[in-house]
Amino acid sequence: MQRMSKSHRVPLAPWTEVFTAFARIGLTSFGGGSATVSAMRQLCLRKRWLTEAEFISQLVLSRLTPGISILAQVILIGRTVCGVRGMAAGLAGLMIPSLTITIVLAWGYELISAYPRAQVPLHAVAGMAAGFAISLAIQLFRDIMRPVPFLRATLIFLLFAALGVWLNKPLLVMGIAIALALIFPDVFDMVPQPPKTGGTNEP
Amino acid sequence: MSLEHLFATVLMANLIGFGGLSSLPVMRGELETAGLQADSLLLHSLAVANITPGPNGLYLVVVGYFVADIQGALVAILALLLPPVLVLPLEKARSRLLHLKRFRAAMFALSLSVVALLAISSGSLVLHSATDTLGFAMVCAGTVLLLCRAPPILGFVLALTVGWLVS
Repeated sequence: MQRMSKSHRVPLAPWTEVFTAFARIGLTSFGGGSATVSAMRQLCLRKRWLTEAEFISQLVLSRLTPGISILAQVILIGRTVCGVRGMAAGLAGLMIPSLTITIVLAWGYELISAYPRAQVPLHAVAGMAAGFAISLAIQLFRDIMRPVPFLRATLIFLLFAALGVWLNKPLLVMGIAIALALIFPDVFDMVPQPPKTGGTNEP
Repeated sequence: MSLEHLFATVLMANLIGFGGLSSLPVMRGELETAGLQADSLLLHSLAVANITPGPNGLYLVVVGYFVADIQGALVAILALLLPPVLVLPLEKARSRLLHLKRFRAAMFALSLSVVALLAISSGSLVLHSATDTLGFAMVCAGTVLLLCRAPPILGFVLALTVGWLVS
């Protein structure tokens, strides 16, 4: 925690710089989560806010956090740079441009969808969005399967998918998954542990 | 759907999901329970979110906007911002938790179940949108484009152009 503790006393940069840097990312990182993470990594390394190992350590931790993991990582980066102000500035910087664009586009989309001539193009756009969802599910499946025994993980995946179709209650399926893991930890604990990185949690 | 219900739904979907579209299955289930046209609503929300900068999870803000206008979007934003704050207590407990076999097992099982449910939800979206040749072709194009890491805006422009030419 040496760097983090130090950062609370001596900011690595003013909060305004954190805000501006993340606002730039919020405006330009088209392409979803991976594009945003890549831009944040470049920012942290270029400004020497974090080392590569620290960035990865924070990335892993934010992946474990519920919700949008990028926001969790922005909180950690902002705090490292200049404490609570940095956290707020990072979140505001990333979210304000993205959200403004999102709401304006949603308004425009709703407006256009009222026109009969727009129905076919919007139907095509909806088809494209469904394809994107399939693609993201495939990418997520590939990522999660990479470090684990494929056959065992696939069988469990198919079990959960069957439960999902049968029960049609996502929350119940997730509850069953957690309960099974707590009862049979040896079956589910198959992700290899990463080597210690010397990141922010190291004494 | 009331604003309170919308807030609770987005918050719950976020607390259980782990970024990206992992909140989609819970969101779809809750929208269906509320009597809304879940698949149509989600498809149009995803279409908008795919062409905006920032995380994919912002599709929830679009859902909020379509359900309850600007107030719905603001409620969804609030519900989106709360769960990531949990990273702070999690950071303190991290080293202890990661040594617990049951914690690691539960995290992996939860991730696997979320991906399985996401596959089902995505399949349902495909069934809803691929009702004709154009829809089916766009689903295939969207899948291939994103797997090839093409920018989503390219797919959006392609779909609009093809749709306009066909109509």
